[in-house]
Amino acid sequence: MMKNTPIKPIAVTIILILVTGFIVWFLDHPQGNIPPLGKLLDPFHGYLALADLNELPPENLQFDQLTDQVTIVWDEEHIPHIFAKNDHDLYFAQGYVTAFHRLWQMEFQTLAAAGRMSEIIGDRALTYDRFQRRIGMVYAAEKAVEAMSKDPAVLEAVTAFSEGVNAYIDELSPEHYPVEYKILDYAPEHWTLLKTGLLLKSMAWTLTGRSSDLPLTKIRNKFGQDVFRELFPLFPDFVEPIVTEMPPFKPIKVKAPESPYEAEGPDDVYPFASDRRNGSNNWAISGDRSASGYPILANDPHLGLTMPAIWYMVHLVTPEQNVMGVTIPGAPAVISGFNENIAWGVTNGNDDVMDWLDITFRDDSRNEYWYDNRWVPTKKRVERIRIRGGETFLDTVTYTHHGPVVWDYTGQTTDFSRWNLRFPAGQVSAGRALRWLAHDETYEVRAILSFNKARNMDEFVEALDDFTCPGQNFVYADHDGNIAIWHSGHPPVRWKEQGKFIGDGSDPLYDWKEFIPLDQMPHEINPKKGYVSSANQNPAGKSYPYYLADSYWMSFRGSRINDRLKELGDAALEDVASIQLDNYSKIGRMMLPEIIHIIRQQPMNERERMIIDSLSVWDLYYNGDSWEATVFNEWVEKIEELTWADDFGGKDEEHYWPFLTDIMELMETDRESHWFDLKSTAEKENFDTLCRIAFREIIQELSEKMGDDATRWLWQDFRGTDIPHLAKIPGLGRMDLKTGGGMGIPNATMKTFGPSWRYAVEMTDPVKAMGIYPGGQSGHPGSPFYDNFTDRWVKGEYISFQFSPDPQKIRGTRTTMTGRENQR
Amino acid sequence: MKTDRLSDNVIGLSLAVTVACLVLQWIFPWWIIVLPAGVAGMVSRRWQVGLFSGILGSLTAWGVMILLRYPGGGEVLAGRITAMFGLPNSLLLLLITLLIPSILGGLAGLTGYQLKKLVCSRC
Repeated sequence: MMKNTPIKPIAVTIILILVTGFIVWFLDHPQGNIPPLGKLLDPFHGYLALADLNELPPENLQFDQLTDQVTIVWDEEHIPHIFAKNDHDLYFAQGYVTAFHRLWQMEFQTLAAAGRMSEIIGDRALTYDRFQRRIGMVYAAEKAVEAMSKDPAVLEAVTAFSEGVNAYIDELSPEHYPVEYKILDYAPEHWTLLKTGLLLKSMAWTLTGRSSDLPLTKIRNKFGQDVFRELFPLFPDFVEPIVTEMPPFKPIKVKAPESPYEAEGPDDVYPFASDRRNGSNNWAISGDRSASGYPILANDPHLGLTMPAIWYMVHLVTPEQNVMGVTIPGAPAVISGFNENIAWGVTNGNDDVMDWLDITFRDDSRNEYWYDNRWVPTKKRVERIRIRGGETFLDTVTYTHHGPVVWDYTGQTTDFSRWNLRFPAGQVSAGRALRWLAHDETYEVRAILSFNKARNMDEFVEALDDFTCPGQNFVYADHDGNIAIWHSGHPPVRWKEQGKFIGDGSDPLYDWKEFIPLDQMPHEINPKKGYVSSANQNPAGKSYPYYLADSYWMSFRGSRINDRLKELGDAALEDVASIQLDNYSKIGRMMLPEIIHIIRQQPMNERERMIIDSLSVWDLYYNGDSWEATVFNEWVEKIEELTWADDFGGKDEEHYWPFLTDIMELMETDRESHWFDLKSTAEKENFDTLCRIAFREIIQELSEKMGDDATRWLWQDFRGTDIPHLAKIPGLGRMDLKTGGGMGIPNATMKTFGPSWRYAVEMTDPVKAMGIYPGGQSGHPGSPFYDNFTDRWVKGEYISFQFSPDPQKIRGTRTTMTGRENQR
Repeated sequence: MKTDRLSDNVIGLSLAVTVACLVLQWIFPWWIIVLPAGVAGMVSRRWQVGLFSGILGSLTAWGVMILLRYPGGGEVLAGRITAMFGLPNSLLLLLITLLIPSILGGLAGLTGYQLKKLVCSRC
């Protein structure tokens, strides 16, 4: 055939070479979102090469860096129990095992935090990277490294941890790189202290990277000051604060400006609005309420859920410590957990530690700004963003003494929200400086290391003083019988409402000069009621002298938890933990009878009557198999939307709405309020009209979405929970999980947000503890331990922990690590 | 004589390509499959022999590795990769995988044959 072809052989040969070469090139490189197919699908070095990967490290390992022998026992859930003779070897081994299970995740999180996504996926990530750089994430991480380097014990721990991670990376051959490296086509790099710093600051961003200054300024400019008294009160009705009584103290005073600064705008969209339906819980009961006579503590911090699991369980033992719990992969020690003497857990404190300040520059060079009646020089920081397949992008960020001027002008970058891995955020207000507590030199790693070794409350509280940002509600229990709750961190001492609106960056009165000492932060130790709890609500009552934030989460969750805790007597560990799974809606109890009554005032068709009759006898539990939960939830959300969207922005745009408590209050006191009037109609609506409109609309919407049979509108099918992969790679997450729970409920599980770690511990001797998180210990998607916890987490089951200072008492597979000296 | 027989023997050349691929792929990147297939094409007497020994040889090498690894722990990950591409089942993923050595092996075999013809039109 070839012989007869009219094309000359040389041309055919060139074409064949070019076609073959092009196909090789095409399959060897990622094409847009498509991974490099040749590399990935190659059964020798691609994803199938990971079929050979062992689930656990070999029985014996030798490392020059170790000073003594380390024994690791892997239990049946693949939780590593690490037994070392000293801290250095302990954290080295922790770094190694964390990397063994979670290398890709821990590195990707730090690359994302550092604004280095463009190195992996090219210029599509440039706007995201610029945001991370301009918000000062790397700047903050560098401060964290400075802080870590100042304390020899902290430096030794983080350095040993890094060495352990790098020992694993060094022995890893490219075909055994975790599959995400193969999909995204890049290679791991050595771990550094900066990466640990980035990880911690990334968590600070997740928990404190929100600010209402911008939307509230816009609302004030539109509606005037009065709207805040009516719709945005610091203490709305139904508040049940975390701490009800505190010993008196003399508060620090700071001078307020004579007349508050009134910023213009902002016209651009709001950043950092977080979903206030989410929430974490923790509580502890005293021995008076437990069957054993010892305190019991429970904690379930809620976060945006991702795979691999956010947390990693670990048990760390040296002659000085015996501690177990979870850590964020990439951070040494245990962040939330217990030792033989004490236990602790966290919920987000939600204090305002992020201010925006207007800056007046002398000229367009931005080399000087007006402050304290003089021109002050700025600093310039050049961010170098390497772009895969492109030239390095240089971005100059202007820094004032407040912090970075995040955007120089409106529209400097757009559309970074889809690259924001945790919170979708809009355009930041231009020409304004950001003052953020996480930019300060803070000592959270030292605090965590000290928690792990603390033997009593005094040592714990001393360590807590180092935990500045993100400020958390720390719940505490110990073997001595103490329980406590401490709203921690060192937020600034503010004059009333400082930071509620955009501030004046030229006025020193808007600076943060003093920080609240720990003993003046809201806390409660061994209260007579025999329990303490927190659920992200107001930390203290009206008598507390400091202004900490413009608002906190609603109290319904906290209130329900307290109702349950009050009932406890002779409680077992399981009784205390079961509150984490409580699906009872206090919002339902307060609102449902009223809105049902309103609907019954007017004629209904047969199906509407059936729905209302069923709702009126509904037990108010947001269980997954409840269809009434779907109707009630959608009904309330529709009432909220109809009430606020025409004044404060619609659901599909950036919006900042008052809390549901404001509607509940108006429902009780002023049903004719103008807020209920729909601007789009000529008629005057009131609360009753809105209830009816909302009901009819949601019935129609649910019918269209889920069919006419209302009894099939199950909550678990309508809402359920999705756990996407951290890099949003399809197929590597877990979708359509049949969960219950929701807003204002202890089990505040949402669509993609929820209890990232549930645990409970009883301070007996020996300590009894159990816990679970969605996902699994392994970060390798091909491992059976990648998501083996998830189904149990959905069902509300827990894993009982093996906890002993004696490695012989832990059942499992052993790995022995030795140093060169030991080997001889 | 022996060379002549091999140069016209698709099965024999395919086996040679398979063995060479199995050895070379442990050391070199995935695209090394074009080398043994190209050499097979060069020693082929007819273009059809070069084409089919390139296809069969490379395909078999990848097929052998898939058979070794898929049931031995690769199944779960293959399922996830299948989901990532939005494919209905893993079998389709494996078939698509085998298209890669088939296409490249075949092209390399033809290229090898053509190169030989350029240098020596009577060979």
